[in-house]
Amino acid sequence: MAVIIFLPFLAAAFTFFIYPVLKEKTAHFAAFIALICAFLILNLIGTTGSISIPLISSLDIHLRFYVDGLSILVGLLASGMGLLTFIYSFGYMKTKTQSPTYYASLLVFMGSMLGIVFSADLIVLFVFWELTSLSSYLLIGYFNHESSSRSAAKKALVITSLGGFFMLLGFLLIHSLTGSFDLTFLLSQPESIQFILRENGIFLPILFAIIIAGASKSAQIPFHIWLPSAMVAPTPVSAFLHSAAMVKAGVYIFGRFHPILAGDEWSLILITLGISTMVITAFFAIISTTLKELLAYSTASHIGLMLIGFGIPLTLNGVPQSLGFVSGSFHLFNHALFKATLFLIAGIITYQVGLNTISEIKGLRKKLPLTAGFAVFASLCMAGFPPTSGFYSKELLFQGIYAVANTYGGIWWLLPLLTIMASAFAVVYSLRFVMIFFGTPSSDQQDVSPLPLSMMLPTSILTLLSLLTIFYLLLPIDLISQSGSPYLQDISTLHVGFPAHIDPPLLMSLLSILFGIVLFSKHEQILKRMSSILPFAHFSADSIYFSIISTLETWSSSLTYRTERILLRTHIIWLLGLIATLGLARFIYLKPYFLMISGPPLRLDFLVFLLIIALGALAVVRANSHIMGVLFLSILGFMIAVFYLLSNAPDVALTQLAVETLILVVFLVIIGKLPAYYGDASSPRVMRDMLLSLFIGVTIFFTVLIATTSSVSKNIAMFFIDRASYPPTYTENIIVDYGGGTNIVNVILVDFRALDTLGEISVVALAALSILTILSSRKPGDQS
Amino acid sequence: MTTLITQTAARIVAPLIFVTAAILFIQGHNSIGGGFISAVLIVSAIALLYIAYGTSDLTRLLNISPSTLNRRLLVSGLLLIIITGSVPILLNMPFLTQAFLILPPLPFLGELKISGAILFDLGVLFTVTGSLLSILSGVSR
Repeated sequence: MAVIIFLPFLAAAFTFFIYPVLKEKTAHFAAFIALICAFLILNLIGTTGSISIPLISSLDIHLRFYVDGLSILVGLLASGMGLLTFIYSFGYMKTKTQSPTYYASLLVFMGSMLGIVFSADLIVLFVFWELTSLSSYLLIGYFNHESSSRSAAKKALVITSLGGFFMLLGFLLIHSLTGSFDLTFLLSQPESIQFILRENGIFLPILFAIIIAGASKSAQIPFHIWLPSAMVAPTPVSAFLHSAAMVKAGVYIFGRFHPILAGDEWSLILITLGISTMVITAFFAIISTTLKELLAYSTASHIGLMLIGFGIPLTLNGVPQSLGFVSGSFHLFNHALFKATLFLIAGIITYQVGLNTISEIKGLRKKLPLTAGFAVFASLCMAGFPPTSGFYSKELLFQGIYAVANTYGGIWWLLPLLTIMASAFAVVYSLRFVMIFFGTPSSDQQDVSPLPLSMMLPTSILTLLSLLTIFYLLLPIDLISQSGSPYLQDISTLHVGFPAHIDPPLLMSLLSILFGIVLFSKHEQILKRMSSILPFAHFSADSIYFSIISTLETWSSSLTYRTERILLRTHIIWLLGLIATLGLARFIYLKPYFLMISGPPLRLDFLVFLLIIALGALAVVRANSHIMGVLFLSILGFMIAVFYLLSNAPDVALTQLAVETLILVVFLVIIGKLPAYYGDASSPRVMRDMLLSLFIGVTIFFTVLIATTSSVSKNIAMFFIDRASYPPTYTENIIVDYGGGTNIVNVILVDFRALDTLGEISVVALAALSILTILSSRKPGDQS
Repeated sequence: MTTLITQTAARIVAPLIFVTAAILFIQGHNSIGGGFISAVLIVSAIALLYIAYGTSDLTRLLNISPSTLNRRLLVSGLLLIIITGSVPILLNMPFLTQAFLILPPLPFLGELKISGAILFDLGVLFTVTGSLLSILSGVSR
């Protein structure tokens, strides 16, 4: 199980090593990995359940995996589409700039996608969710020398990680009441979980958080703007991320939390969100100018339709029904197949003809006969023409929509009307895609070079799968019905297949097809008449995004200017002041009685050295040159070392001595570079610095007091004394339980608390690297 | 400061410091010493050499740019700890579990005890040396 998820990540790391050897054949390696994953997932079909591996047990974070119908379905799509994408990339990327990053990020993306669908721990799921955002950022911005790529990648990252933030919020809220991150547990009793959440009044916040998370990923209004921009990515990436995987992660979240969150509010929000996205983005698809833009908008539109499916209430007229859930998932499956086909075809066309603008491409039928056939078939699927698979899943969804309108009546009748409208739009844009293959080709088109097999193969496989779905309609539905949801019992009563008599859903389909064909014949005239308002409609959401981003940039740079000016001392003032404030506030909050201190009686010899230390500190302040200051400072340091020695801590004393010497030497090295004198400081600045140092001194004073008076269990000390050395008797030659050393301090450092030491030296290493960074970014003559 | 006096003094003092550092490192488990302290001593000695001879001579001597060497030291120290610390995981024990080996009595040397923690301490030594040298070479540039 864990293999499925970690294999792609491991392979991604390997990519960088094998790329110099394999070059573009790395695609084959990646495809092989995807094949293994897909095969392993195929093996899971028919199983339901969960396994758990503890990861951070103290925080209740486990590597839990959960398998059911929905996760197998989306997992199969992710790995299968990954496989086809890698095969396709082999041909497609030959003409582009190549780098191992491409394959590595695709593999990471596939792994995180599988992580999302199979992990049963909410935190682990969140981490994988963010990983998909991150890897898609790399993939969208793959052509990073173009500013449009960079801006599109940033847009996708900002929007999807905003969703990720809300998701984390929702998960933490769920945990705050149920005390569990375990999805298996949450899904085992969805009704009572929902009851608990509602009782405590946090059901709505969680609902909003999860819906925002899913909507941002699946490009629903108003988050849809990232998807068309993301089309600057290489086409295989678009086919994978923006038809089968990334956007489907959002849909998956809706499907996953459906049992827990479903209710009146859920239905209302999801149906409203879905229908508005469906209509508006379908309209954008009609007016879009390039092939990939059309496909992107139509993806958002179709996902809107799936959302309506997931939003269909669980009980209508008191009868429980699973229509919505099943039809949503069924359409998810079909959509992935035909949309990926269309993306791959768009890639083929750009590869062959070098054009992407719809109006410029005409009559490709003669040059690319096979591709044309595939395209027509996939477009008909997209438009929902009978008897393609798209028709059947739409038919199921129409059944649900009609049932909703019939049950609630009134304003709800708008829902089927709007759906018909959006479906008619879908017919229009599908026909637009088809029409590039017909008509007379313009003369200036390039000659068609032979198409690589690696690009044709995935396209044919996808078309074949779409075709097969028509004959085995029940296969995907069977897969989904394993889901184990309590209200999937009536699955056998669902009617899937060609309707025997004319019923309202069929009528809806027929109406939208008719209306769509009529609209298509007229759409150019209508669009011309509407052209005056078009730019406004097109850019409104985008411009809001850009104005938000630029406002944030202005704010943050002005804030940065106030707090972190170029001067190093401004940084230090803010940093130390903040730390001291927080520390002191914490102490006051924790121990209001911290002035009642008891400790060992003061020794006379200590007092002498403390006096010398105090005098040294005074002398440092009074020193009028660097050399004097440094020398006095080192007197202070050496006295502290003596102090340690008197307190029976020779190790610490020795370290203090050595460090003090080193500091002195470092000062010697840099003393020539410093200005001769500190210069006259203005009196307000001296006041400020004095107050700050006083404040920090007070904080440290209380820190030491509290740290030394807080009682530590005697048992710990005894444990270390017992275990640091050798065992009294031993039979084996290798001993793990004991430290094997007589210097207890060092044994604790390297053995009992080795993890702490590792953390500390990592901090030392990081500090060194940051000092190097600061020093090398400084220009000569900077005042710092 | 590359005077004859500092150069001569450094030439005598630096090896002494290196030897002291080595002793402190080895006895660290049973007596005063340890990886951190010997790292600080080593860096002091190298700093002394920097002051006396300048960085260019050292670069030529080591045939490698000091900053590269420092960063390699730093990284290899951390890697050493992580890799040796991961070995217990394979034996189903927690990360960074240390063990020591008691060798059968040898002539002249008696019973020897070798602690696995010496590798950990060596990692500390490398990392701290690398870090401090990086800082030193950074500020002296």
